[in-house]
Amino acid sequence: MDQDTTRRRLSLRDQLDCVPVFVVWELTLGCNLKCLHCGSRAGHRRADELNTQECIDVVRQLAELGTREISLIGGEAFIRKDWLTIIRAIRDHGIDCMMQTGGYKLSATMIEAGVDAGLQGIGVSIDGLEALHDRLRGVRGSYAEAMRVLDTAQRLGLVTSVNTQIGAQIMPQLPGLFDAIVDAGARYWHIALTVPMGNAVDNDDLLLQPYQLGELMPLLADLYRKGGEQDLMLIPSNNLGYFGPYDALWRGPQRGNYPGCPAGQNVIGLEADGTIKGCPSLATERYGGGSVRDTPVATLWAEHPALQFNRERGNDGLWGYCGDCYYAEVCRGGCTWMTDSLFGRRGNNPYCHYRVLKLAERGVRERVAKVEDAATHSFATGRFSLIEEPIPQEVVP
Amino acid sequence: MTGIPTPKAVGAPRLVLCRQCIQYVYEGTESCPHCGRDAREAGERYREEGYEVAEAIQQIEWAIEQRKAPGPSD
Repeated sequence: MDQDTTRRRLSLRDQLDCVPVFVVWELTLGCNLKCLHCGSRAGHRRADELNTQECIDVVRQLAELGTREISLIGGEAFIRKDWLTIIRAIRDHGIDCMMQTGGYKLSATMIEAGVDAGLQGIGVSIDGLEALHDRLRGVRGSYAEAMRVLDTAQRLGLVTSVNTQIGAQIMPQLPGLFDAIVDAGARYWHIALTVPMGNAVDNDDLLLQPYQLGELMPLLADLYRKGGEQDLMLIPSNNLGYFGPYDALWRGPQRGNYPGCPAGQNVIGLEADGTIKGCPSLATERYGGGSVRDTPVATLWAEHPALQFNRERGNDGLWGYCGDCYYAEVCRGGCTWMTDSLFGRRGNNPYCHYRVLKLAERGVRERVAKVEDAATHSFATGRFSLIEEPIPQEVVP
Repeated sequence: MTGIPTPKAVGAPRLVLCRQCIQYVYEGTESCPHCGRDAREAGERYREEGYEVAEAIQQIEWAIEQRKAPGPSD
């Protein structure tokens, strides 16, 4: 399953008809890692996770709605005893199936069983070189395990990708990590910014500051070009953008420009207890759209107000810099997860390269500062203030 | 089929690349807001880095998609 195929590309009809092409499904919140930046604060299972039959019925309903790809996440999806049964059900309904994992304790035998069940690809989270990754993931040896999983998955013919969250400590290691990923033979590198949610609010020193995109984006552009020569495709996530001088590189004519956050329009997120959201990472209290345990998926998808927010494309919700931006109509503040996690409200996104460069023309930059901690529950958000300040003389943006 | 009406959304406005500075502008833009030059006139970089060919393919795909997509009265 190539990750750059037309099957993954959103057509105009997909957009207009709100086809939930991509589903990201937290099969369980149980996890064997203790990541310092985990937004869902994974570790223990949820109290009332969907059972096997309920999961299979959800797959059937998603197939009817036109879902083309389900990505299993956690926690760690493979901690569930029925993970292979669920993969089989997904494939039996003609839906592509990927699994995103930290890879810790995912043995070769288990991966082979996944392949037999129909699993087509594995994305392994790697957040820096060995020492940093092990520290961030909270388990010594987790880097070696992640690399081993990549190697095994590769040998078994799975499409392999690496997921990296970019934070302050990781940024300087990106060139070294690039080399490690190329050596490991992964084909895709999904890159995203660390978002201030859950554990990442507790450990806010891990966050990149918005103005640092001035340094990050040229670095990523170099790595993107280098990747083209070494068969590694960098894929920017929804929270990495927008419309700066390098956007045509990774979101050029071949792939289509950034169309705004697809949450609730072409993406469904499912929590393990059946809570449906427009994106798996959004705060449950503001974006939970009911439970698929009680109500058919199609009904919630069509009617629940918490899933509708991106469908009308109005600019009313934009504020701050994004409200007056040249790209407002298309971008609409970019990633809902980022803006809502920062400010408890979507529509103003300081993590934007175009914005960073425009502000730099005026000699100013933005940083965020925590003003309120996050609660202890899953997907809890804190509160950050946005500070505009003169660019220090010694810094060249 | 589910029997529930299909939800509808509004499509994103269309962007094209400025053929001089290779940054996105709204379709129909004459003077590029980024570089100030004529956004419609193909520059050297636009041709040599393959954007001209890629955008031509995109135009064809877009036209096909529009024929497939439902009209406002559908």
